[in-house]
Amino acid sequence: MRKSAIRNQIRTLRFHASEMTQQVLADRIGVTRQTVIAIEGNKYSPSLEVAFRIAQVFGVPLEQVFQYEPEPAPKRKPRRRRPRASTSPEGR
Amino acid sequence: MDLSFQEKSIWGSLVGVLITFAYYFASAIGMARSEGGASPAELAWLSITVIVALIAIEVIYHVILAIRSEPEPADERDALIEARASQIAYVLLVVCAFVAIGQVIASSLLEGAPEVARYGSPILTAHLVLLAVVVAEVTKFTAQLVYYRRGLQA
Repeated sequence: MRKSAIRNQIRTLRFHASEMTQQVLADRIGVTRQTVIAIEGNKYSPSLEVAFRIAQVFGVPLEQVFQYEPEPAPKRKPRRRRPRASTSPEGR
Repeated sequence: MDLSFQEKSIWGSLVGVLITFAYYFASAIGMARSEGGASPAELAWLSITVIVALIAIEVIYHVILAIRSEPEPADERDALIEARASQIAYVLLVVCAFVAIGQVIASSLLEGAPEVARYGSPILTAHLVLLAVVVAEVTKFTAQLVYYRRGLQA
């Protein structure tokens, strides 16, 4: 499965919020504990609403909870240009 | 393995469908191979037995599950996983429906052939449609379980 480009700091934020458990967070944002586990493990990107609720629970801006880190596009090999056949009289 | 309530519920439904319909199709094939073939009354009775058994398995399993682990309401991830799994199952159902239609057309075109005259019956068509539904349902449950384990990106 393609890895998500969205990273999150939920585990760290939980730790700083008096070691809030996944179950407490899940109850406060209205999802199951399994969904919190999936979000923390970057296996599921939540809806905007749930993302905002998470930020609200920790009292931080959304960007402090989620970061968008797209993978750099693969570098293209420079195409080797084929030398053109000469049309000048000298080339014939 | 830490399974959610939804996953446990899906596992129960998957096993229930597999057991009951494996029994149904094995019995139906046995009846078709017997002398005189399967009678519609026998098949109807078998269908009722299997449906009642499936309902009983589901009810008993979910009652035990609800007692042993606290039920959780489905959230947005559960809904998304179900929607994705249903998409896959729908495609499979459409393919199987076309196979069933093809069987009807083939049996009407080759009416004279003895094999087709024997098997190309409305009962066979009904069984193909039923098999399509079962295959689609099993696929849906399996896809859900895979998405729960592997993860899902919107």
